[in-house]
Amino acid sequence: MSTDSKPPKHDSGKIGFDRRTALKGGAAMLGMAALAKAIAPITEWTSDMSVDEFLQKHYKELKPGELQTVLARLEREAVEDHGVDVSINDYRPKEGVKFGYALNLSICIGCRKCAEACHIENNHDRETNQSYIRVFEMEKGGIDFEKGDANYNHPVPQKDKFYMPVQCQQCENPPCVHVCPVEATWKEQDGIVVVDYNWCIGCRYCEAACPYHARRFNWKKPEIPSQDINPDQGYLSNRVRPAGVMEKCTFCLHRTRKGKLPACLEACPTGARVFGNLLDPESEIRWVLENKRVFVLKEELGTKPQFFYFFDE
Amino acid sequence: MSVIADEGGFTRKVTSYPRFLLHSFGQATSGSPLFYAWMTLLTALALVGANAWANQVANGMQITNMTDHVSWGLYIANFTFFVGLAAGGVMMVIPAYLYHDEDMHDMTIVGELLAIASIIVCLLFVTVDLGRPDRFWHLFPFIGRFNFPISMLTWDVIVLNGYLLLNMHICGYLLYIRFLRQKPNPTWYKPFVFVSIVWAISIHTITAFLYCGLGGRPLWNSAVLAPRFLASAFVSGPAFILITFHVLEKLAGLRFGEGARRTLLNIIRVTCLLNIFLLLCELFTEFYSGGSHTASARYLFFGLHGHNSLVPWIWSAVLLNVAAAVMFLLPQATRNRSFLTAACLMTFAGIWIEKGMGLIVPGFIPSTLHEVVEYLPSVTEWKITVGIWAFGLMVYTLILKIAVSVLADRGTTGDPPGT
Amino acid sequence: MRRKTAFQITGIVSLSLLTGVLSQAIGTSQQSTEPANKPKEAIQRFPVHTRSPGPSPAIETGFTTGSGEPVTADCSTCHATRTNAVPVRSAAELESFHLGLNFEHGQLVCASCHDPGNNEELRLADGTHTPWANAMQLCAQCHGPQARDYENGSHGGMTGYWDTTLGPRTRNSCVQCHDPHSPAFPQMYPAPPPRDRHISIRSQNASDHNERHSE
Repeated sequence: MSTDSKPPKHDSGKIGFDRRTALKGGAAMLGMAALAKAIAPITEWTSDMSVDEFLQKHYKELKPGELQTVLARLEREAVEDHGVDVSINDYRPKEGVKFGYALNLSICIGCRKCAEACHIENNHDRETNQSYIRVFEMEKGGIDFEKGDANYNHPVPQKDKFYMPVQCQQCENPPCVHVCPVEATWKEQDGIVVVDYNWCIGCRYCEAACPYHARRFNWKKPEIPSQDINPDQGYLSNRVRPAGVMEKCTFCLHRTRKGKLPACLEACPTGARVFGNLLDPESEIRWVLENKRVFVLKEELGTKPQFFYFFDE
Repeated sequence: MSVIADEGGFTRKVTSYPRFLLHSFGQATSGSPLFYAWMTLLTALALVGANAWANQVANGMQITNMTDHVSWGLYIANFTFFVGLAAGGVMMVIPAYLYHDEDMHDMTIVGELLAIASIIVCLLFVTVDLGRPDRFWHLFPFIGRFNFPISMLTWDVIVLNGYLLLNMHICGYLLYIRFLRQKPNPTWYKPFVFVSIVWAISIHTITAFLYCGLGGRPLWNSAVLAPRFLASAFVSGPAFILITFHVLEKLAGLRFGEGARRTLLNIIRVTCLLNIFLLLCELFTEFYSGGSHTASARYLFFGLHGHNSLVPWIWSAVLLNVAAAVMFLLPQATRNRSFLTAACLMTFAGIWIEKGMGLIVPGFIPSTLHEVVEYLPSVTEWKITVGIWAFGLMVYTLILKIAVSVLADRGTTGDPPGT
Repeated sequence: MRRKTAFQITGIVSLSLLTGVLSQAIGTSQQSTEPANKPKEAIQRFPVHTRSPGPSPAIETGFTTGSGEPVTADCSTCHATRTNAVPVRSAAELESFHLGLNFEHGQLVCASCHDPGNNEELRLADGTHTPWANAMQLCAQCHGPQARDYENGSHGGMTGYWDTTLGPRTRNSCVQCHDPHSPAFPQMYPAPPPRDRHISIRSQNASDHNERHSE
């Protein structure tokens, strides 16, 4: 709308340079002042944001030099925000590697050690006890999540129950990636679905699309005591996320792309978890796929998970 | 005084558009005390909303009551409803242009203006739902990374903005030409009108595809969702226009032709029944076969594991829609304007519930892993929602006021513009 | 600018939809057929270390030395002079020593695993002696499927590297997780449940809920 407050007289003389116009002008000024006051919190919020951060390009468009600048800036911000020296690296997928994960439901006891390890490894918000893994206590006799409970808090394992940890299934055909309007999430060559936390607009369409409740939104900035921050961080994985963006399990790519086992596997006291390279015929994961009767969650949806479940008996 | 357009006069041509804008501005800022009171009220509400949104941006989405389980709430519910309202506005256009109902041509502008205001409201609701509104530019084609054509949301960005531009062009052109007291040139607007008819259907279809394309959400993953969206849109849109007519007649002393009113009523008489029929189809499929896929529908209509906060709402919606349908069919609807307006208000409220919270929230309850976490909007969410509604009404009031002033310049409303 | 731009410029929506879907499908199939092109022999691997079941245990006598160290005794200190006359199936059958032992391991008796002739060693089912360090072989005699799974890396847990060309790996032996006398995995308290926003609506206490609603 035009901001000119002096309409000419041509309009049937209804509007003129009279007291009414002055009043209207005053009201407009008042309105603008009220608006400025109303949206003041945004000014405060933007003062925290650097121009570089605002204009940062998509991960895939960053040239190596630019990426180094971004990583350096993020490391600097970690010092400013948390007072800790962290190392944020860009870990790339390796040729000939495609990750797969299998979980033995016969020996999982539901101790949530995996969820806890994830919580610590991936710099999750402490107050909400966030984790990429949700463990369900299920009734024996079927895989019916309607009879499952993720909030149990009693000694495990219970006799008539079995336990089903669920995390990102790193689908071969990931609905979350398809729906993202800005390509802020994508599947990498080694099968890991990642999020560029500095590109995501926070529309949460992926969270609606995921059939496995694998995605999490940062309803606020994660709060972690400085001394508890895991300083070994990946740009696409466990660096402390900004508020208002999506995050998800990355099979600990900052570990696994260096050849290490994911944190949830190391924490498992029963050895229910098997991780490895699906393209290596000698790998443990391949042995499981070839010798156990494995299944995937919600196979009928055609998402082709790379996370497998199996029973011993 | 007003300028009679003649073909000569270069300066006149150059200055006529600014004059049109000035006229519009004048119309938009002056009126009766009631108008001022109304605008002041809306401004105040919009400011409350703006302030709540600013706080939401500064503090993060934690001040909403959305969760990782119910990750869309009141905002997206209202967004969905307003897409329907925008699409419904076109129901004025179809009879006018496809069936050459010349009586309706002036009236169509009311529908198109409703579409403009509704789309603006839609875009605002999407914006306030974003966790990172500062990154909105990532959504721009070419500048950002536009995941077209795979992401349905990018389609929605295109169709919503396209629909907004189409209607702004049609309304702007027709009003401007009327302001100049010229005959509109059909090549400058008729093709756009026909495009806008198809486009109106596309906006609501694609918005339905946003939801029914998600295989992990059984409540939404239904082929009948898009037809249901359209059916309800073609109830709520005409209903709102009928309400607008009634209000303008009462408060602004305008008169609208009985023909337009009858056409709208006849449309509603069909679409409201269609809407109920499609709901019945959905309910039969859900409940007759049963299984865990019906959990969301069970939650919505009967409650699940003792959680039932949406049950009274959805039954109110069903009741309102059925009662309104009966009222529309009664002969009083043609004779008694207050009776008709009451029926319109009832079905409008019914569809707001049904195509808003009644559709979005149960899609998330139970969650994809069958956890039941309920959702009730927080105060912040209500404030922002009311603020956007107020802003939308403000836009609608202003553009309607401008349009009425231009159309009434000839002394009558309801006349064919002489195409 | 980038590849996608070309599609967008065409503006032919259906065509670009098709192209998008196709390119995606092709991309996927390429990915999944990619072979593991590592020559196996040439690669040097780091060791996989299995944690030892330990030496033969020493029994605490209940006495302490002058400096406070517990006094322990080897098995043979007593067993050299005492013979196990009858096959003992439960600690309740004992009259002295090992009285509190929680022994729940199928139908086994002490001598099923412990060698009565040489108490510093174990005894396999065929009667041959085997050192404590070889306890896993003893377990494997009965627990074949578990031993097979363990051999193939799908039982028992590990830490370190999945890719042993890049670093070592440490594996548990049976007894790190299973008490040989009572091998069933014990019950334990789980790590705390998630405290998602508003999850309390379902199962956590109300005060917790209100606390998070206050903002």
